[in-house]
Amino acid sequence: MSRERYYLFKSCILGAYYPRVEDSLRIVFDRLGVRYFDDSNQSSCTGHGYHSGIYPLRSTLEVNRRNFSLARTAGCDEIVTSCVTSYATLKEMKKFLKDTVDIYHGSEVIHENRDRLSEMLKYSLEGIRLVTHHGCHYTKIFYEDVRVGGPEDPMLLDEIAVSLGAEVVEYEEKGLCCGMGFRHLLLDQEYCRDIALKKLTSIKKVEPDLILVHCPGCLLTLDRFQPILEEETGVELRIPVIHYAELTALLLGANPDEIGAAAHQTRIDRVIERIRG
Amino acid sequence: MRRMAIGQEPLEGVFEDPRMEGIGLRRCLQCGRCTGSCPARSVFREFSPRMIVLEILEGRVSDLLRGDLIWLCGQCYTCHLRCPRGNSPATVILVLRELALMRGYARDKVRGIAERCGRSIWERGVNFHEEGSRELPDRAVADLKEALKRGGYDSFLKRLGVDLS
Ligand code: SF4
Ligand code: SF4
Repeated sequence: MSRERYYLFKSCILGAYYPRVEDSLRIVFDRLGVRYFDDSNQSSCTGHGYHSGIYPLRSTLEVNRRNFSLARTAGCDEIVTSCVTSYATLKEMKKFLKDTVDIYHGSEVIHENRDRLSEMLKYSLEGIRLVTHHGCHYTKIFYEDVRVGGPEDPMLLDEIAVSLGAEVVEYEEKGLCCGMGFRHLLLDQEYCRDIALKKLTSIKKVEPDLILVHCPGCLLTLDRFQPILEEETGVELRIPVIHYAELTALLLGANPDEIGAAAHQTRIDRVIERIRG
Repeated sequence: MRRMAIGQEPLEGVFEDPRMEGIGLRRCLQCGRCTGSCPARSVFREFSPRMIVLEILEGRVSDLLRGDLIWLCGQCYTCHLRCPRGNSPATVILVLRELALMRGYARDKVRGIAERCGRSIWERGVNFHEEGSRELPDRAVADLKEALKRGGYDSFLKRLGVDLS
């Protein structure tokens, strides 16, 4: 990975539902001295719709031909995405367009800088037990590109969490989808409820303080379905879900408002208080 | 057992899609590893990626295109990762969905989503939008519309019944 200037590829789910997550990523990149270009002209990759069946390949190609050209105009040969579906969609479109742009995920950049990051922390995760969930579109589509661990046992978030001082706990359904299911999320959500419940029940068994995710869709699903599932099934879940960018920004000293803690449905305020002492 | 249509081209357009290049559809040995790993299968008992592959290989693509099954997949790509033969039911299903819509089937499966996300990208440049959330500046939206038109998206949305005027 060369370190010129990344084209920061923003997520439509984060933009609409957790806008402060990308602010958190900017905070972390700024502190680390990672340079990026933040382009207001960049459109959605349309990946969520593509996997829902509402964008034909041809349309998805043209949308991203435009995005790649914007990156080039900004002098960037490398794109860093905040979403794992953008990561996979851009990689797929790059292949068909025979473009040479390189695509990375934001968590990879943080992982690469984790040693330096750990020296800059204002707070640490000492005493915090967490589980990780890696997005399927990061681990399972371009599975040969999974950098840390393997597609069946991804360790990217685990290694980031350890360098931040946390204890990472294993759970049975680590490889299971979060339940987002693309079109299912926008329709009757039966898939979402069933799979999210299976995932969260497996997580609940090991009683972690936090679920650490790196995908906007996983954050949305694991966070927002908890109150719905609790009401429908009577099972008590209440496991705070946090995105790696929010967590690292918080540990660098950002306050709960700056990371957008209020946008979460699960209560992350108590664990934030514990971390901030 | 019915004879497999292996080797018969073009299986109703499936293999004409560029996404099928390098996908081991014909190499499927019906081991069922995809179905065994499939979250959608655990929710919808009638759904099975292995069976979808078999239906294609046995020449029943049009039944799949007309039916509901291909719309149950959650696009998690576990089958794509785990298939021992380099097949990718997840990719094949995406190809079938597009074929179905292009032939005028299943439009009720996506109309609502297209009305929301398709319209949102056309008007604002983002799939999802809430009040006050990020959207593209007007000039970028105009430029994006040109790219979408080059990709045939305006006529695609119109065919789904989304009115862009
Ligand atoms: S895992 Fe692969 S080879 Fe096995 S049934 Fe599924 S598609 Fe066929
Ligand atoms: S991509 Fe679809 S068919 Fe494949 S395992 Fe996931 S839900 Fe099942």
